[in-house]
Amino acid sequence: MTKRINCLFIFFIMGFAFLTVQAQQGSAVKQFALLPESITGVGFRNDIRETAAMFFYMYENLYNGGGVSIGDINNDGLPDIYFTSTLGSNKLYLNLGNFTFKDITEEAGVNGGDGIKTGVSMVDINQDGYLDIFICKSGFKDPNLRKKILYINNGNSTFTNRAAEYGLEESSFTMQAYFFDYDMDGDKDVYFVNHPFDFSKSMTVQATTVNGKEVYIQDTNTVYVSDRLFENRSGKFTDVTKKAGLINHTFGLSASIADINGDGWPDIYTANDFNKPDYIYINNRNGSFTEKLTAYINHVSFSAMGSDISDFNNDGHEDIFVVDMAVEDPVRQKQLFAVNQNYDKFNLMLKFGLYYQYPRNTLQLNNGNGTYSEIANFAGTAETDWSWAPLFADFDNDGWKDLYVTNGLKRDITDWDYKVFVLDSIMNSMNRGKAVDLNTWLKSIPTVPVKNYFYHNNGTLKFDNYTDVWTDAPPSFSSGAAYADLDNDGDLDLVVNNVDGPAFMFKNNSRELAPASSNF
Amino acid sequence: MFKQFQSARIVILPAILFIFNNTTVKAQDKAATLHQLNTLLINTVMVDFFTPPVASRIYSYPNIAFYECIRQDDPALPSLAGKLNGLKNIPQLPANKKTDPFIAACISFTYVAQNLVGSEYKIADWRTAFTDSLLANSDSITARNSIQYGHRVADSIIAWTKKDNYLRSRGMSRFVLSERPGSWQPTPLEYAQALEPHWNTIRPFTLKTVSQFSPKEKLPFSASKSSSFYKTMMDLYDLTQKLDTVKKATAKYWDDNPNVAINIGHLSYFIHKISPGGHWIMIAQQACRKKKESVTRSSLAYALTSIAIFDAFISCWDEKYKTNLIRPITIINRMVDKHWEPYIQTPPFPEFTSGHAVVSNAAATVLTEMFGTDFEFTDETEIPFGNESRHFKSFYKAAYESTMSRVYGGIHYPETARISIGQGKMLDYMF
Repeated sequence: MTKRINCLFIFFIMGFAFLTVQAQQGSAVKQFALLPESITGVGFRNDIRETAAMFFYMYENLYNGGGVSIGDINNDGLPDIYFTSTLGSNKLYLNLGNFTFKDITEEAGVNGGDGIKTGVSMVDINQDGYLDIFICKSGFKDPNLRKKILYINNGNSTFTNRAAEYGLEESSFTMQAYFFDYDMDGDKDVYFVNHPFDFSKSMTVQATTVNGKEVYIQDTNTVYVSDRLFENRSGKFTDVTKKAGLINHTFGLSASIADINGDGWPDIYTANDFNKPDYIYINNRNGSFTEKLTAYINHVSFSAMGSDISDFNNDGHEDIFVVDMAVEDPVRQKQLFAVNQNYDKFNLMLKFGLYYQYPRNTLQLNNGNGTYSEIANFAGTAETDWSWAPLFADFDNDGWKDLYVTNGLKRDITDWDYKVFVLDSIMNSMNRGKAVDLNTWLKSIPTVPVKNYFYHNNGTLKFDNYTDVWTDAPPSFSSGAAYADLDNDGDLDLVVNNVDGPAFMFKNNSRELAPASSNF
Repeated sequence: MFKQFQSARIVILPAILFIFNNTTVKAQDKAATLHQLNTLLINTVMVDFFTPPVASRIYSYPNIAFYECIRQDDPALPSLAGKLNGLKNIPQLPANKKTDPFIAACISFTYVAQNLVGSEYKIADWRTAFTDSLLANSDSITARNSIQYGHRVADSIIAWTKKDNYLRSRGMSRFVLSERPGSWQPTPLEYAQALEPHWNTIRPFTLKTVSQFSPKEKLPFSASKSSSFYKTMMDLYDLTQKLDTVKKATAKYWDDNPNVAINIGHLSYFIHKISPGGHWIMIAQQACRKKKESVTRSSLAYALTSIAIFDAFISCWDEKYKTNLIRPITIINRMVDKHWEPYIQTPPFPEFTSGHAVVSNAAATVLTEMFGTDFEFTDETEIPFGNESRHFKSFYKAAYESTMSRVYGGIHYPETARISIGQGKMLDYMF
């Protein structure tokens, strides 16, 4: 879901406030120290409690988890944190300094309401100098439960939902909103990454004959399904998707906004799950976009999820990273191996323009001449398990952007032992007329938390796995993540939204551990 | 071949007293043991999700091994050695040792079965429990002799299985899709690659050549509206447009797809059901139970039914890959209605002829020979798969219904169903 959380508002205040490094019990201080609730005051957990009315069978993206957004909502120089909770109450934590926070959700009036909350963005939509909060929803069939929320900052740490007023209340099945100025008129427009509600056709490649030619059957029902572009017209947002040529029918899970063709105008990269390939919507500079993936990219991830665009090799050209579900550990890899593609289906997909798609992460290195080379295997970042948010950022202040990838799915529904044997016996007893209660079923699905990946950029187009070097963080089901210098000490701290566990509050100790060499 | 077994029908076996775990076991309980073994085998095949042709191979050899042992209780029953392709030299019952053919039969069944399935432990566990109870018994010398003999028979059968080209066929090339119009294409949801394209290289039991019973009538593809292909395709389309609940239930009842794929996004799983061959083995079992057949007669029923099913698959698969005909979902989507879907999932192999139809009619032929033309029975095979039991007036009525279920299900053309019935019944000539 909020695969990639827009970190539009990261406040970097280079200070020399050397905090006392939190001594960790019995081990050396790691670069990323995981601070407990007792120190930070952040007790947020995204607990997903399934009920007969809502579990993964009703909505496949249920375990995608929640988002994080970081920004200074009260202009006191300290970045504050907003978490979305899939089924529970969202939380807003005010930064009190020294890595301590206070839950002000109720006073601020920003709990997000009912429904399945997905991505969150902080953006000053009305340009009054105060960050507003925008929340997306998905998952429930009832459109009322999917109405988006725009919390306008009242300037006194309280907020009022004015989504309807701004024309942004619409009820698409939305993963994340991306605020950017597509028409270069000086205000922020917004792009919603949406997806169909019916997942049963996500893997089919049906064709028909039109004028003697076999063509792929495009689904024409795009209401609530297609991605949406809304243009900001003096504070009122208008749906311009059709005019902009952006109607689609994809299981979009994230987008990244960047100038892909180098003409100074923002383009859109959308990462699409399942059969549809990713899209690159090139901005035509006249209010419309044209999809040109194949002009730039040789192949993409099959189950594309989170994405990030960043110049990781410092050559002045932005590179694209998209995460998938490939597993690094050989045993687990075989246990979860997906069979959604085979040689014949691959060819069928090619024939019908669904392009070259492979089930692993893809790292598209921008060659600087309008072409990209896919180097995830070479770079060592191809397999990071069921992955959500990839974030490029220089975590050790050495001038090279490192990479953090959150991952984990609450229930391994693709586990072969479960799919083939356990589920069989459950279905058999159901067929014999025995009622199987939901909890028995759910408990039979393996639940395996995994470690998020820290990759250190070694400056040679390669990344080293620094997961255990930089943290002691336990395995988790992590979804949204965002970085910011929360304590204004000159390095990037990290906040991660976890399913069924406390959010990770990582304090970056780069400055404290190496005061001389990390002084960027 | 069947004619040679006619005499067996009138032989009424004396009730042999069998000491089993210090309990007197009647002949009827021996038959029950054989039924239990076949149920175990079918369940193991299902859990291991073998494909229907491969499953037919697994059902047959253990039942032949069982028969070769148990027939020695009845001089009227001939050995299959010399009658089935490549089968010869089954070890004789040791003359100087006290041996129980029933114990040997059970043991040989398990060793052969274990050699063919994936979850070997399920079979081995059964044998361990069986032998443990035998050896606890006072006459453990006979038991030991019988186990030894059963093992030897199993070894000779296993050596025979190794030469049926199955292992070699595992290494053969995948099926290359044809670009010719009307040729088979992978179908949703899995778009799985063509299943067992080289099954016609497997040694049949009784067929002289794999295409011995290739139907003379074919169904060549044609896009012309006056062609019989187009007509039967439209007949199928029209029929499935107004499918009533009775027809739907029939399609579900005979679905017998060992591996129905369900995909809801990444939530993908498989529903494992009994295969068409397994369904008919179970029908044979229910007929034996209804008639309270002896273990010898039951063993004959299992052996002949499984032999017929095995050869039916070879004959049918030979036809499938020679004609390589497109499935209804692909061609109807392309030519008639892009949103049309069959009621049951299309299995991954060419359309002509219908595997279920050929297998069902071949099995029904054998069972009719054994139990008679108007043998009524109630089939409870489908209860574990969420269906009701069904009553049939005869085996052929059941076979006809299963044939038509493929049309109702939208995976076979009516013309194919009709021709396939003929192919299945032709296989009768081998007996």
